[in-house]
Amino acid sequence: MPIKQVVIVGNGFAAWMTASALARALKETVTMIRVLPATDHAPDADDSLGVTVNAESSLPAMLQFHRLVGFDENELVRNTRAGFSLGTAISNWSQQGVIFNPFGEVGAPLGPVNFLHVMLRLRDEGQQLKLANFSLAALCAQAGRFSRPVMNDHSILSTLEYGLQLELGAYTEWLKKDAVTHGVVQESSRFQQAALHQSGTVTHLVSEDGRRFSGDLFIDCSGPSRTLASQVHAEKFASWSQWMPCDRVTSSITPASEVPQSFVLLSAKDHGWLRTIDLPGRRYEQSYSSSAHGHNMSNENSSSGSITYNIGAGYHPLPWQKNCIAMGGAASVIDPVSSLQLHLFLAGVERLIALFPNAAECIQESVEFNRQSSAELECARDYAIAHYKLNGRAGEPFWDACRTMPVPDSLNHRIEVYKSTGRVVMHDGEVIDRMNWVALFDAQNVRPVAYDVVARGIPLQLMNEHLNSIRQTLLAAVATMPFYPAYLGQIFSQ
Amino acid sequence: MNRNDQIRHVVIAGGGTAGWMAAAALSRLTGNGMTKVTLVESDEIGTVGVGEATIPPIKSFNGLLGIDENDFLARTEGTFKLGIEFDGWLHEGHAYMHPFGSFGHDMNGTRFHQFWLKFRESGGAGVLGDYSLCNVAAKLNRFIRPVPDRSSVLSTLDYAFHFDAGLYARYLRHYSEQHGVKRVEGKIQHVEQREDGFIASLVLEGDLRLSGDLFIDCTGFRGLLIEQTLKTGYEEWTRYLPCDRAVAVPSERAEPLRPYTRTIAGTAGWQWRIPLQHRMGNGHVYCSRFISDDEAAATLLKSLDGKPLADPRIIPFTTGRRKLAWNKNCVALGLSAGFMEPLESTSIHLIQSGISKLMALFPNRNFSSIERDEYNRLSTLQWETTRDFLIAHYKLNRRREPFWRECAGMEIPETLARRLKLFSATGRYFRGEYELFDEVNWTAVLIGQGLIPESYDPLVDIVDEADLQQTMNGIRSAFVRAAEHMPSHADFIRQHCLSKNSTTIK
Repeated sequence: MPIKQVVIVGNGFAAWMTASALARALKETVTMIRVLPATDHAPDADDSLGVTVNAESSLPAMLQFHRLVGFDENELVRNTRAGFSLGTAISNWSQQGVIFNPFGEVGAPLGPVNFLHVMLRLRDEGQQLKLANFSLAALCAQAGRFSRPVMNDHSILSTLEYGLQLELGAYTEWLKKDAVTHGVVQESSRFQQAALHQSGTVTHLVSEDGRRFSGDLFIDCSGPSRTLASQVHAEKFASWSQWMPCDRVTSSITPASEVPQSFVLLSAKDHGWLRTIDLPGRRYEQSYSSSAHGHNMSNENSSSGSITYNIGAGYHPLPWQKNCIAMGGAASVIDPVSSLQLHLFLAGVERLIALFPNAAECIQESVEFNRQSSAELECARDYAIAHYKLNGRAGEPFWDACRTMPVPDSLNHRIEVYKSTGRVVMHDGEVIDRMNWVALFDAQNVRPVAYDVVARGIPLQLMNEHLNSIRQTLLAAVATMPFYPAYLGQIFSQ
Repeated sequence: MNRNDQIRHVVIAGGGTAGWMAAAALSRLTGNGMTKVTLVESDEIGTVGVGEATIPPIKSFNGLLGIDENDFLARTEGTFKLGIEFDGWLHEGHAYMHPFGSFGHDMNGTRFHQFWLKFRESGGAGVLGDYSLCNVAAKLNRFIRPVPDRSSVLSTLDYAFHFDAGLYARYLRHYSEQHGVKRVEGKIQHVEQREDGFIASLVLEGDLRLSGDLFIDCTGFRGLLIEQTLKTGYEEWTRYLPCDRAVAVPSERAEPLRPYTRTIAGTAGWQWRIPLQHRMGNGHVYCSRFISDDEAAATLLKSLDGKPLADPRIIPFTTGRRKLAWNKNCVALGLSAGFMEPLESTSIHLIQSGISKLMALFPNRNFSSIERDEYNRLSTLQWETTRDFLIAHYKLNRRREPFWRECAGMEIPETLARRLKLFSATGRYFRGEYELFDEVNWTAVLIGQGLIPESYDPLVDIVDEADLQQTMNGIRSAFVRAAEHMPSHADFIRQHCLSKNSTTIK
């Protein structure tokens, strides 16, 4: 029997994104999608992605997701007052000051030698080179310029990659309208109880006021409280708290008059770190800290009313059991230092669409879904942990503890292979581009001791010319781009 | 980095395809002015001509070396290859092609074969191969190189080569020697080890001693360095791939000149047909528990399309892989690293990917375990996923002979079982990192072997049925038209890459 009815539990971003995406992608097969609220909560405290945040940033992959489900990006940016992101600036995590971890390609290979190894060779010769100086995205961010990539393969501007920076509340409102337009039904009665068949599949949900909602597939988007899944799934939460030390976040929004940054800023502080996301006119700050280190970080410029939320990092290894799927924060909670919590959720929705079952008995699909999710989460986990593990802030108890903590073997292996050869080990389910791992290692002052054997045989002059020509091409291209506020203004005024 | 730690001397033991491919690629190292590369081989030791058929990634190896493709084909009696035909693999009288290049085109982010699965229910869909331009052109014996313009149907083509492995080795020898590789003629008498077991030097006849930092074992099945010296150990896969012998014989070339490899299932194994410019390469891979050498050779000779040009040669083998492809300061490439039957023409590719991994993880003289372990991890992954792909061909057969019934009933690796289950549910496949074959390859073979998924991806229903029918028929007729406008394979070769010795191409 094909899946005709889907019931989603939750009231935040995750629930409405899932509803809207499924309604658009499956319009010919699924006839009814309902959203049942899980709790009453204030719209500015959305924990449906895992960690309660007011704003989020995406990877470039989000744009493909938007295309897949058919969102009009301009309309979205205009209606939610969103912004663009060119990468992440990492400030003071090591002795290196600010390092930019850009989206998109960095440099270009020289014959068979990849760009990193050209640079490693020149560094070995004593030159001080920064990766970001050869990245189109980084140079745009630095110059305060932005425009979407052009569709001409011959232009360097076609290689620009970008993500979005979003206020979750505004985006959720937009999604809700979109979902309802596409036939999703917003129920008002709150979810209370799941009714199970003896086989363990969910037959229907019962709400607080006693109404029954039957369906073929049930999706929990209620965040870490797992309002639905906790009643249906065998619980096996695997905690990451030993590797992700921050268990508290305090968020604030301040009006900002200056030109917004087209990147996310992660600034290390004495007892934790601060994440800044800039949208036009507003600055969102999230301050992360560890209760074990007893210091309650507060934002220096925060407006009154900032609230602290707890974070319980970890994941559920089997998010899809029988006909009930946990998505977003109901499946995993990852430290936002990775900039991956939004991405992992969207990847889950995309995976659900790719594996959407043709019948309610969906064992093969669920096995594959869970396998891919776990592989992806392990890669994301390692990327998050690497930020802490590789820090260079000696003498501060919080950071010293992070630097000396034991980490998963898979991460140790990545670090060791990189140090030894300058190669990035990639696994099944990799979420981060090779270059982003390199940029992170670089930001944390992890330097390989060797480089590509072929690079050793290429004349230095050829390498220097190669670098200069890349830099000149990039700078010339950036100079032709509009300033970021002007570009945003143009979209807003359409 | 410390220049004193650099490898100063790489010694390659054994010529042949593996040895000379390694020499050609590693000749790049000599550019640093510190590293020497020496290859030692003996004209007296014959080489086993592993796989004269290749798969598309060979083009990137040629690209790395800066080889002119037409020149290379003319000098190796080479031809083009658009895929592999599997004749009788499902049952007698059934055939399908595993074509290179893509099927149709994906629509709304959903794979093409999903649409085919739905269209198939209506009855008029034809076989999946009708929607592959490589397949359509191959069956018409036509060939042209793909064009980069995405809007042209010719962009969906992909290809590899057939060539004479002996001539290929000679060609690469010439290239390597021009690029600074030194060739030493001689038989290796014994191998000297250091106290820690590392290889110190090779001692040749006449007491010539070749010492080195890194040794590449290309000595074939016997694994003179990796096994006879280092006792690395071998993991057998005979329980999954039971064939253990092959008999090979060249024959006069038959017409027409096909742009694809053929593999034909028989009573207790299968035969290959590889068309070259000057002759056909033929062979019979079989399981000795079910057929004798004499019978196997007789079966092969009886079914040749042209006159045999030599006596049949028997090659015994044990399918499996060396437990460590890189052990101490020795890296095994080619047959010394392991063997899988040439059913999907993977032998040369596994050499190529071994070389590129070695270049990427090139050690220094301290030989830290990090590079070696990573090399072995990746190598194991690639060998095992390739093995799984081969097993699928056997597992899914419906032939009646005892050999084939045994194959159909065998236990298969868990990794493969999971993939087959997922595919048989809704036709889905997900490629892993570092995996050689992708969704298109698996789809071609699994569908070809009769594993038709129970249902298709529900997203297919988004496309209106009338539109679907029109699109599908449109693709099919466009491919036939495009193929009919291509030159014949023989004409294309004559115009671009005719061997000086080949007067036979009509």
